[in-house]
Amino acid sequence: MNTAIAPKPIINLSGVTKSFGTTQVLKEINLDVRQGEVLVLIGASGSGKSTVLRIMSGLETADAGEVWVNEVPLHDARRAREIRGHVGMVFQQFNLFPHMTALENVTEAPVRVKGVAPATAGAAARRLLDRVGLADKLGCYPAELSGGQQQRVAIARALVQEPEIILADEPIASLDPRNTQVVMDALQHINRHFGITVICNLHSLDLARKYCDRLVGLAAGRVVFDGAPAALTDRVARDLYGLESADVLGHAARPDFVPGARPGLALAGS
Amino acid sequence: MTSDLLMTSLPILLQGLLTTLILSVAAIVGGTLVGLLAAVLRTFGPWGTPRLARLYTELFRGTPVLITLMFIYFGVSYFGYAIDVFAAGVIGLSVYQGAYIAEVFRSGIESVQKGQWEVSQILGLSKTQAFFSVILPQTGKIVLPPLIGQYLSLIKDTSIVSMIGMSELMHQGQAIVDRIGKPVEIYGLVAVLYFVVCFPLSRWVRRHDRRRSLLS
Repeated sequence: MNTAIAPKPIINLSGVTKSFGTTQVLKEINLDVRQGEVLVLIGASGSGKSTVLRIMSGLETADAGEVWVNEVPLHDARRAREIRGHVGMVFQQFNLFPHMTALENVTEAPVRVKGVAPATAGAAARRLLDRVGLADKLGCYPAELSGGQQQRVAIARALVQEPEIILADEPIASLDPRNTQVVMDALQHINRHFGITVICNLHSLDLARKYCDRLVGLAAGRVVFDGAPAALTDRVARDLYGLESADVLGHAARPDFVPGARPGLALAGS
Repeated sequence: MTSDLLMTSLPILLQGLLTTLILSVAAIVGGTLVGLLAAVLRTFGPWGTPRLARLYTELFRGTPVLITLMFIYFGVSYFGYAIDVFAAGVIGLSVYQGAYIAEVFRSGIESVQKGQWEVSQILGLSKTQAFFSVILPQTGKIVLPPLIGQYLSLIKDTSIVSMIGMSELMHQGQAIVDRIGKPVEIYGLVAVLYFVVCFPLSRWVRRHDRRRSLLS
C-alpha cells in the first residue's frame, strides 16, 4: 500500500459528459484523483476508460462538466495549455517518433519546448533510460526495439518532463506477459520513488489488483465502482464486464484457462 | 545520322539541355515550396485558407500547363510589366507543378499516424514544432518516390516552355530542324537527351517502390 498518498485531489472531474456523434461515451462522471496514488481504471471495451484519460490529458474536451488538473481548469480552453509539463502520457501503441533514436525521443521535448541545452537534456535522458533498463539501447531506433523496450522509452520520455501525473492509456495491451510485468513495475517504481501520480487503464483485473492503490470501474460511461481493490465484489465484476464473476475473478485457478481464448475472458489475461 | 550532323547539332542541343536543367532545378525548388505551402494550408491552415488551397490545386490540375505559361508570360505584359521568358517559365512551371506536388505532400502528411500529433501535443510541442520536427521528416520518406515521379513529369514539361520562346532543349531542336531539316534524327537526339536525364530518376523510383513493397 502506498503511504505517500496526499488527501489533496490533483485531478478533479465533476459532472463530465462526452459524446462522439450520437453515442454518449461518458455520463456525468465525478472523480477525484489524489496526489501520489496509483489509480487504475477498469471496464469493458467501450466503457469510456480511454476517454476519461484523454480528457484528463487535454487531448479531448468534455462536452459538459468541469475538469481540474493540478488546479488548472481544463474546461477553460485558454488555460488548457498550462498543464503541459505537469502531465505525461504513455500510449498503447507507444507513439515513439520513428525517425529518432531512443535518446533523441527523450531529449526532443526538453530541448525544443523548455530550451534545455542538448548536453544537459542528453545527460538526463541517459540517466532515465538507464533507470528503465535501456542504457545499451540509446542509439536504437524504435523499429529496432521490442514492444516492452519501446514502452519503457515512452515512459522515460514522459518522465524527462518531470511531470506530477502520468497517464497510461492501456500501456500493456500490445505486450507479452514478461514485458507487461516490466512495464507495470516501471510505472509502480516511478510512483513509489518519485511520488508521481499514475492513472492507468487496464483490462486485466489481476494486474489492476496487484499494482493499484485504488480501482475505478466504468461501465457504459458511468462510474460503478470506486474503492480499494480488495473491496471489489462479485456483483461489481459482473456489472463491469457483463460476465459471471467466477469467469473474471476465478480464471487463475482453472487449469483449462487460456488467455484470449474467449472474448469475455481475454480481459483477465494480459 | 552522320557524324557531321552530330558534330554540328550536338553542341547546340547540349546548350539547350543545360538551360532545360537550370529551368528544371529552379522549377523543382519553386514547385516544392509552393506545393508544401499549399499542402500545409490545406491541412492546417487558418480561416478560409484550406478552401483557397484546394481551389488552387483543383484549378491548376484542371488546366493545361501551356495555358498557365501563356497567362503568366503574356498576361504580365498585358498589364504593362515586362517579364523575362525564363522567369515566366520558372513561375509557370512552379505554380502548375506545385498543385500536383501539394497533393503528394497532403497525402503524405495525412498518412502519418494521428498518435504522432497527440504525443507532440502532450510533450508541449507547438503545431509548428511538431510539423517540422515530427511530421515532416516522416512525411519525407513516404512522399519521396511520388515526389521524384512528379519531378520527372516537370522536367519533361519544360519542353512546353519552348512555346513561349525559351531556348531550352526542345526549342533548340526545333531551331535546328527549321534550319537544316532532318526531323527524325534531330528529334530522336532530343528524345535521347531527355531520356538520359530522366531514366536514372525513374529507375530510382522503381527500385525504391520495389524495396518499399518488399519491406511492407
